[in-house]
Amino acid sequence: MNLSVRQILAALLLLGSAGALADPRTINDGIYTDEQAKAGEKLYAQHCLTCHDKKYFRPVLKVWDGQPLGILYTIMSASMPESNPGALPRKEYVEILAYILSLNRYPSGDSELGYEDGVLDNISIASRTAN
Amino acid sequence: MTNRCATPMPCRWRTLFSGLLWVTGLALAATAAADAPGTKDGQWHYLGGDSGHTRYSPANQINAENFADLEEAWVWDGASFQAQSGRSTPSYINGKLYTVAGPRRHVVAIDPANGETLWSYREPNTRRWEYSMRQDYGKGVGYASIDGRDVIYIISPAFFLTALDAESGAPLEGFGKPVPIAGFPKTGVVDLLADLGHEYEPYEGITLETGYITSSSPPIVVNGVVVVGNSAEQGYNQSRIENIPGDILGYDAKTGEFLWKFNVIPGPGEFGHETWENDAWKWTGDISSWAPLSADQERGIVYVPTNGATLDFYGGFRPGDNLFSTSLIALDVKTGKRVWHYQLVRHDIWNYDTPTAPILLDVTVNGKEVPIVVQATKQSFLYTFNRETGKPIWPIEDRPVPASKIPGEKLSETQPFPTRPAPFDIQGLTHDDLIDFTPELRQAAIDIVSEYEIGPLYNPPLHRDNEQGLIGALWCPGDIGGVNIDAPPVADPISGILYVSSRKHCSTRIMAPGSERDRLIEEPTGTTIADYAVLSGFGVRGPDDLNMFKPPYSRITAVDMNTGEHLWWIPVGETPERVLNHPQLKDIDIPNTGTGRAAPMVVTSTLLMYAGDASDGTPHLYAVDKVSGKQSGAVEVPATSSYGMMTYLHGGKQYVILQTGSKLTALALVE
Repeated sequence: MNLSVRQILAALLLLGSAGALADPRTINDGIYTDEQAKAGEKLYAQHCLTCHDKKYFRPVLKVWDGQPLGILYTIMSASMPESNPGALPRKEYVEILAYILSLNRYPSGDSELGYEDGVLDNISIASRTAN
Repeated sequence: MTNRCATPMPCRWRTLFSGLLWVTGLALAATAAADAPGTKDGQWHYLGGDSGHTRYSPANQINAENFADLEEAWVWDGASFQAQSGRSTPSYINGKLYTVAGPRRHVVAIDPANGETLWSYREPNTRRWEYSMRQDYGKGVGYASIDGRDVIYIISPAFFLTALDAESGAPLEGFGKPVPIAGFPKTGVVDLLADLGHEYEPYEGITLETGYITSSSPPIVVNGVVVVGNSAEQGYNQSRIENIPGDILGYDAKTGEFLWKFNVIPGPGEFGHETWENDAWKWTGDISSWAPLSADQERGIVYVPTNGATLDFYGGFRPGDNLFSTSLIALDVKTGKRVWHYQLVRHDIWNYDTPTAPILLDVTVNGKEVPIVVQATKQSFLYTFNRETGKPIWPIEDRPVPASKIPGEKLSETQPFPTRPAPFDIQGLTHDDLIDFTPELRQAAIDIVSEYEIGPLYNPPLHRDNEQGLIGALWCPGDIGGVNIDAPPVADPISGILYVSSRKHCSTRIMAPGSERDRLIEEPTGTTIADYAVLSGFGVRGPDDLNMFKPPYSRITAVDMNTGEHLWWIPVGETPERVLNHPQLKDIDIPNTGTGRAAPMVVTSTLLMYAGDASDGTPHLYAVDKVSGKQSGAVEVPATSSYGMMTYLHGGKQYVILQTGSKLTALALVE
């Protein structure tokens, strides 16, 4: 299975028309598990921290408000880490994404975050709501 | 690409006859630079060792026989300075190590025997530091001996030049002018914004509407002149067309007196002004020199590698070749006047900025000694010039390149192609470059790239809503392919062999109306939104978690700069387990693919050393025979390193310093 072209196209289409999401979920809805975030923490330290400190994604998530989470995943998984782009399995990129969400105090939940079938394209980035 | 070695070391061309010629060449070349200024007696005065940035040391204590006895000697941790990037290569000067660390760019002196911090200097806070965009990217320090006293120079993220007494860390007396901001020392500091000619306020800096300037490299001191380069916000993070140019500044090393400014965007009457159409010279900018500068101390020439002009990937608002963007500029250090220049990429819209310092060597070409400067680039070229005259050592040909389909973008019809040395990594993309371990994987890769416009070197970006219905263009090398900041090339000045590490990588960007990107930037520079800008930095993943290309994914290539011939190449590190154990690759004989990471390196009189990973991801330091390319040793090391490496001799012991994130990891032989 590739990182499908369809996924990219879907993300781009969504980027052009944010708000037209079929799935109303946002990153406030407990979309990842604690286990994923924990695995992602180690990976973040190993692959991301030299360029992106722990505050790096705070403004990123703020300005990308309303955009699909899939676009963040697609960029990350194809162009990072800069020293060896795309070198990690897709599962690990999702774990890093989970850690980034936990770092920015978005809530975890019971269901694992996946990357299949464009699921990430149907979750939108949103400002953090009070718990 | 016909001259490129097709198999790893040694290349087939190196017959006995050519080998004899090569050895003769070495003997002729050996007259020069055995003790290059800066590395004599195991010193390391510049971040690139000597001022020609060879990253070569004559130190010979560590060799192939004892390499396995290397172990951790000490670790210095910059975490308390909030250091993260590990970009700085320390200097070893008269018994002390000096480096910069963290977003404040603290200057730190370290005991070379045990890693103890001896002193540190912190610049007071300013608003212009707070919005600085490359804070933790300081790459090292500058150095000069002034009236017998060692002085350390740095350029800060807020764009101040500071001179410090190397012994105590105290700001240098009689240097610079008082800065009217609370907390600044009364001496030792020059406000660099004062000499650029733009309106600014000392604490706030230049308004972002006007533009932005900072620094991500140290200055270099040449014959009593401190030469100051600069950097800008990354062009792929910009959406507006105005900015300020990254002009080069010269100061008296003793007093900090302003001496000269070189305009990287030529004004009316200046050489190259006609390369700016649409009056873009008036309001656009960048063309920064974010990579370190090199210098020929004897000839009094400083070599400045430059970035592209404002906005990566779209330049429709600045028609013309845009001198001196993406160029190598030689300046007379006393006057700041241009001695010569060469524009490597005309009207650069590929982010093909020159990412590493030019390398200076004295070699023998066709029986004649020649002083050369070599610029390794992301395009996988080694542009080679007589460093005195600027004349190419081997012909550089103008060749036609594709036109852009993005509305309003007018590219140069030709670009310069060096005919020698051969490219050291992928250029352009065809289906022949794609993974072919199995027919299924190959077809999957073809399917992936079918959604992109592929083509030769200088294949231009394509806008999102294109007539072909493609996602965009995919160009090779991409802007993190070829050579980049994380693995500066090294060279042996005795033999004239240059070692360049590269990564196989292609880029694509989603080019959309500039207003879409502008909405996503928190603090944009400039005022006028460009017609097009990068919406996002998509790369393209290969099939099923595998690399898109045929191996090697990353490599080291040895090039004899006396002849321009490739001598050998080797993959960096070992094939990753994710490839070796991939379910689709069972029972397939996989060659060493290299890890995909480029290699930080250092070269000594005995060895080429580089950092890489074993198959299981364990970081290692490898020793390589400089002539044959054969691996002569490998030791496991505590952490992955990047951006550079250095070595020095202190108290009779040779140390190797690995840049391991927030830490410096020193290795030495077991006693």
